[in-house]
Amino acid sequence: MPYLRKLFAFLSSFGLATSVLTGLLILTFLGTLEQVEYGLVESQTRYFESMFLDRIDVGACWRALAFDAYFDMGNLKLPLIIVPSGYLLLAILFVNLLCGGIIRIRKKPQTIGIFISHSAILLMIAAGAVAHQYSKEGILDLTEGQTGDEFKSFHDRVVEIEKVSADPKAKRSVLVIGDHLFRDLTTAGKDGKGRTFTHSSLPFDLMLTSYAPHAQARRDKDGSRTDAIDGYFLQPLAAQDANGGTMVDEQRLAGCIAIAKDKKDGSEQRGIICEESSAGWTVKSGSDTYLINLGRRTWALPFSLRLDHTEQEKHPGTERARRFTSKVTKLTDGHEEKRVVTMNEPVRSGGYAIFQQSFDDGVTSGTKVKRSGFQVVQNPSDHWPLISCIIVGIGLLIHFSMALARAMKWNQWIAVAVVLGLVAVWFGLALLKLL
Amino acid sequence: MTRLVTLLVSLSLGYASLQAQTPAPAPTLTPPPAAPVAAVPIRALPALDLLLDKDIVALFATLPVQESGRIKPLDNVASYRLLRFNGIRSIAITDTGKSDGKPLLDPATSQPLVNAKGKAIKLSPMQWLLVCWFRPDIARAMPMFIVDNSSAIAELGLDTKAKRDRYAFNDLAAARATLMEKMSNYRELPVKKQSPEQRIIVQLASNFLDFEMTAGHFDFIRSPLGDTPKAMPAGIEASTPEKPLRLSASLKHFVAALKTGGPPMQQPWFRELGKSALGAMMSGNGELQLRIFPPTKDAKSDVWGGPGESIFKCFTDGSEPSAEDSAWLAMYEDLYLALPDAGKFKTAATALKTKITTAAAARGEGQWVALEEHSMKADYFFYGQWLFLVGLICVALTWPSPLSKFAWVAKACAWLFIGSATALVTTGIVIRCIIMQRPPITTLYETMLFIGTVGSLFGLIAEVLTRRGLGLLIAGLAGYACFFMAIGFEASEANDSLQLLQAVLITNFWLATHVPMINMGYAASMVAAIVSMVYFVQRLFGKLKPGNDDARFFTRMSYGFLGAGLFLSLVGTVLGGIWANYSWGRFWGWDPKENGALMIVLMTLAILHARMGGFIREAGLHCCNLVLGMIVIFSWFAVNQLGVGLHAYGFTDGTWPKIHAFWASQLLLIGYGLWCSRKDRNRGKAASQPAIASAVPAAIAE
Amino acid sequence: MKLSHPSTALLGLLVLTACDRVEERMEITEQRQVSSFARAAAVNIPSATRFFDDAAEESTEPKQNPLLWTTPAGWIEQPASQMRMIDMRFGPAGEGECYLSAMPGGAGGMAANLNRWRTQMGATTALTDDEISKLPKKPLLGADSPYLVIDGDFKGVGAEAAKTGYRLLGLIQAAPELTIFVKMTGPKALIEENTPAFEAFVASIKFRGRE
Repeated sequence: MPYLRKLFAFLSSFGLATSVLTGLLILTFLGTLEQVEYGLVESQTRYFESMFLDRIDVGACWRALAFDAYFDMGNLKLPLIIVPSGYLLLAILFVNLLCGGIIRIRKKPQTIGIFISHSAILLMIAAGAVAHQYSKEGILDLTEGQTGDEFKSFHDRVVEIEKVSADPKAKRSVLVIGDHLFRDLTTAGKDGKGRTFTHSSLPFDLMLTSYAPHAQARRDKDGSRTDAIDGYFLQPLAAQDANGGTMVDEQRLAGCIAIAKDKKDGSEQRGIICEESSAGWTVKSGSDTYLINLGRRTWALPFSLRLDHTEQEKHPGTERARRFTSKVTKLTDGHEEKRVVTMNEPVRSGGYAIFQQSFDDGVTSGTKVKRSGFQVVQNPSDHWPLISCIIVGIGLLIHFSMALARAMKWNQWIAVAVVLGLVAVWFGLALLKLL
Repeated sequence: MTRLVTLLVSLSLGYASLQAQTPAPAPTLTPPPAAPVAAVPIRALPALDLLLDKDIVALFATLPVQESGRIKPLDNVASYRLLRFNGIRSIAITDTGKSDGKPLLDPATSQPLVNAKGKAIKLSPMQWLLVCWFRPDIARAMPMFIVDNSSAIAELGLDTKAKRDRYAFNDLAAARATLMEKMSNYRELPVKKQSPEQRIIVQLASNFLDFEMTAGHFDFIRSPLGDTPKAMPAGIEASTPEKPLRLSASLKHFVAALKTGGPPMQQPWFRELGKSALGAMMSGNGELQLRIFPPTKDAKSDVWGGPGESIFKCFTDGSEPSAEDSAWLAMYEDLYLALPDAGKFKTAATALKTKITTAAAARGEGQWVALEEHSMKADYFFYGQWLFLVGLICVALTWPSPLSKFAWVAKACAWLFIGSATALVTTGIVIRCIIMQRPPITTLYETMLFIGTVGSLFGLIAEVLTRRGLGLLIAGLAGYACFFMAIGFEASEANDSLQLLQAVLITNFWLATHVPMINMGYAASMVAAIVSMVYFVQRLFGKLKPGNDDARFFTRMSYGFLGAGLFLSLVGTVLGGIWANYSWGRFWGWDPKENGALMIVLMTLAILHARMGGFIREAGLHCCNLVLGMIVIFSWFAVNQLGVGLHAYGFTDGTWPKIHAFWASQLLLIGYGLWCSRKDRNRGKAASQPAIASAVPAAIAE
Repeated sequence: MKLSHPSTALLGLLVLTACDRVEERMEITEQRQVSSFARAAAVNIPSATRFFDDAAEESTEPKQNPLLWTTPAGWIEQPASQMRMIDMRFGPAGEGECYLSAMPGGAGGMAANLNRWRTQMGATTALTDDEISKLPKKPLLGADSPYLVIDGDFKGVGAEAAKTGYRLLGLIQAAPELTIFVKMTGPKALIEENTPAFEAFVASIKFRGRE
C-alpha cells in the first residue's frame, strides 16, 4: 500500500514537524501583538482556539511593535482562507509526534531521552485538549457572611429564560442560550440580522438581534430614535478604558435586543437585555410571566461555600498587599467544614479548586463591605502538565547529558547516572520544602 | 491616612494659589537676603566641613529607616533621591553640578566652597542629603535637577541652558506656580499619552517638591512658624536662639489652639506650621516619607513613625502626642539644636542612632542594614562591568597571533578579569538575596543582573570544556552587555531596585525554580545567538571557512547551548504554568510574557527538527540562531512595552528604538548569513562533498 | 469551558451559506437548575430602574458631563476626556471622527481657530474676517455659529502623514467665557453620508439642567 506508506512518511516527517512548529511560532507572535488592540480573549480565540485563521490585522501588529513611529501603514488587514490556526496545528503536531517521535523513531539507547520527552509532550498536548474541552473556570463573589454554590464564567455570556413561579420556594430552572449562538448577530454594517430560538415549553419564540459586545442602555431623550424600546435604546460603546487602552473582556458589558413572538397570535414584545442592568426583561404571555436575562454563564458547585471572615495584610507603610486570606465554611448536605483560602493556597474539593482571586477591604471601594472573589476551576487534566513536565525534563536531561558526554568523550551512562542522581536530590529537596 | 493626604494636598494647593497671587518667590522657602530682616534671628549655620566629616557621614549612612515597606540604610534613600534628581549618584558644589564647574560661594560667608586643595567639592549621596538638611541655603543654589530637554524649561518661561542640563532650585523657584499648574494638568493624562516634554515637567515638578520638602526637613525645628511668625496662638512664645520653640513640648498647645480657633486653614500660624511639618515628612508620597522611629517591641503595627507623621497625627486626630512620639521628637530636636557645635552634634547624632538601632534590633529588624550599606559601597555590578570590559579587551588581544606567548598571557589575564568579574557580580546577587530573604529575580532589572551572570558562567563553563577562547569571549560579551544595560536601566528608573513583592508572587519555592530556570533559558538561547553572531563576523573577516574544524566547533557549541536552552526554557515555561495552575488556577493564559517564553521553545524545537531533517546546514543553523536571539529580546524586553497582560511591568521611554536597532543589526547579519548559506550550498554541489551536516555531533542527528 | 469552537466553525459555514439570515431558527437545548442562594426573580421592573436611570437627573456627580446630546444611530461613543467632552467614531473601520471640545476664554480668536482647521486640511490661504462673516451659520447651543466645510488632505495634531480625500465639517461658537468647537473629519464620501446625522447631533446638544 504505497499511498498509506507515503502518507505515514509525510505525517511522521521532520518537514511537517518543522513547518508546524514554525506555524505555531508565527501564530503565537501575531496573537501576542494583536492583544494590544483586540484584547486577550479575542486574539486568543482567533489565533489559538479556532481551526482556521480568517485574517491578520497587519496594521495592529505593526503598531504594537511601535513601527508606526517610522511609517504609519494605517489599517491593513490581510484576509486569509484555509490557513490553519492554533487548534488545528496542535492537532497536526500531535499526529506528527505520534507517528514520527514515537512510532517511527529508531529505538536505540541513544534515542531513549528523545523518546521519553516526545511521549510526555503528547501527554501535555492531550492535557491541553482535555482542559480546553472540559474545564470550567469562573468566579464566585462573596461578601462576609454570604453563602454561594454557583460560579460565573469570566468570558462566556448566555441568555437565560426563566418561567417565573408564583411560589417563591419552588425549584427554579432556566433555559440557556450560549453566546456562540448569537454573538455573530452584531449590527456592524447592516441591521436586521437575527436568529430565532425555540423551545417546546415556551409560548413564544425568542429572536435575538443587534448584539453588541460592550453597550449600555440609554434614554431616548427627545424621542428621535426609531429603535427605542420603552423609551430606551441600546448604545454600543467603544471597548476602551480610561487610558485609551483596550478594555479587557471581563469588563465589557454585552447587550442585545430580544423579540418575543407569540406562537399563537404572532404578536411581538421587544426588550433590551444587557449585562449593565439591575434586573431582567419581563415577558408576559397570558397569565404566565417570563424573565429574560443576558449575563455570564453560571455553573453549580457540588457544595456551598460561606465566607466567614477576610483578612488583608499590607507591606508596612504602603498600600501594597502582602497577603489576602479568607476563612470559609464548606457546607455539604448539612455537614460543615472550616477551611482557609489564601493567596497561592487554594482549597481543593470534589475536583474543584477554589483560589483567592480578588479582594475588597471595603475601604478603597467605599462600599464598607468586605468581599472576596474566588476563582473556581474544575479541570480533569489538572495535574497532567506537572507529570508531563517532569517526564519531559528528565527525558531532555538524559538526552543532552548523553550528547554532551559523547562530544566530550566521557562515558555517557555515567553522565546520565550523575544527572539523574542530581535530579533525584533536587526532587527530594523540593518535596521537603513543599511538605 | 486619607485625611492626612487631603490635608497635605490642601496645603500644597494652598501654596500654589498663594504663589499665583504673589509672583514673588516663596517667602520662607528661598534663602533670605544677605542682610536678614527676619523677625526670628537665624541660628548660626554649621560649617560645611562638619557635614562632610567621615564619621558623621558613616553614622548617618547606616541609620536604619523604613521606606517602601522595608528597612534600609538612610544612604539608600539619599542615593536614589539624588539619582532621581540629578541622573547620577554624585554632585559637585559648582555652578554646573560637575567637578569642572566654578565653585559656588557660601551664601553665609560669601567665600568660595572648595576643599583643602582649593578644588571643587564633590558630594556623595549621603553628604548631599546632609547638606540639604543642614545647609539648605547651599543646596538650593546647587544645580541638581537634570532636564533632558530644555524646551520643558522654556515652557515654564525660564531661561534655558544646554539641551540637556542641570538647574538649581533657585533657578526654578520663580516659575514655581507655573510648574505646579502644568504638573496638575499633565498628570491628568495617562502616562503613555503624555508627550516627552510633559513627562519631563511632571517629573521635574515632583522632584522640585520632594527637594523642597527635603531641604525643609528641619524647618519644624529651625523656624516652625516661618521666619516672620504672626498671630501666635495663646500660650506659645516666639522662638529665640536661646530658647527655641520645641514642638515636642508645645505641640499640645497648638492642638488645643486649633480646636478653639476655627477652621485650620484660616489660621495664619497653622499654614506656616503645616508647611514646616510637610518638610518633616520628606515626601508627598506616603511610601517615600521618612520613617525613622521604630515602634516599640510589642506594638501592634509594624509601621515605623517619623517626625512628619508624629506632628500630622496630632492635627488629624486632634490628640496630644504620645509620650513615645514626644521623646523621639525631642531627640530629633536635640540633634538639630546641637548645631553648629561639631562635638555636641556628633554626640547627639550618636545618641539618636543608638536609640534607633536598639529599638529596631529589639523588634528583630534592621539586621541587614550594614550588609546593604556594604554592598552599596562595594558597588559590585559597577566594578564587575568594567572588569568584564577589560577581560574582553584581553580576549581581543589574543586574536592577532593566537599561538604566541603574548596571546597566552592575554588569555590568562582574560581568565583573571572575567573570572573575578563573574565572582563579583555573583557576590552582588547573593547579597541582594540575603537582604531581601528571597530568590534572585523579581523585577526586570534583576533579570538583567541574573542573565548577565548566568551568561558569563555559561561562557566560562564552555571555556573550561573547550579551551578555544570562544567561551571567554561569550562570558565577557554577555557579562558586559547585561551589566551595562542594567546600570543604565537602574539610573533611568531611579527607584530602589530592591522592591517588595506583590502578594500573589510571594512563594519562594516557585520564585526559586521557575523564574531562574526561564531566565537561564533566556541566557542559554542568547549565548547560542552570540556564538552565531561571532560565527558570521568571523566569516565576514575571512577567519572561518565553512565546514572546516573551527566552523564545526562553532556549530557544535551553538548546538550545545540550543540544547541547554531548550531544556531550561521548556521546563521553565511549563513550571511557570504549573505554578500558575496551583496558585491561581490557570495553567496557560496566553499572556504576552508566557507567549514570549513559548516562542523561544518553539523556535528552538523548529531549529532542532529542521537541522535533523537536513533543511538547514551550518550557515542556515546560525541564521536561525540569530532569529532565536531576536525572539529572546522580544520576550525579554519588547513584551513589557506592549502594555498588556499580567507581566507588563516596567514600561520605559525609549526602549523601542533600542530593540529596533538590535533587530535591524541582526537582520543585516541574517541577510549576510543567507548569502553565505547559498554560497556554501553551491560549493557543496560543485565539489560533491559529503553533506556539511556532519558538523552536527553525530549523536544528536540520529 | 469552550464547547463552542467546532460548532462555531460549523455555524460560521451555515451563516455563510444561509440565504435569509432572519429566518434562521434553532431549538434551545440547554437548561440549568437555579441555586437556592440565587437572587429571587425580579419581575416587572420598569426600564428606568433596570438601566440605573432613576436618579440620574438629580445626581450632582462632579464627573457628570455638563452636556446632554443624542448620539446618532450607528455611531460609537468614546469615553470623554479632558480635551474632548463628547467623542464619537463612525464608519466601517471607525475612520470617521466627530468630537466636541471647549476652551476657556476666546482661545485665540475665531479667525485663528478656523484657519488652524483649514491648515490641517492642507489649505495654504487664510480666510479674511470678511470671508468668515460670510460663512453659513448653524445654531449651536442656542447661538448662531460659523459652519466651515472644507475638503482636502487631513493632517491632525501629531499625525505623521496626511490622509487624502478627507472632508472636515466644523462649528465654532465663541462666547466670552468659553469657546466651543464641534469638528467632524473623515473620508469625503463617509462625511457626505453622515452630514444629516452631524446636523442632528449638533441640534441635540444642550447644557445639562437647561433642557
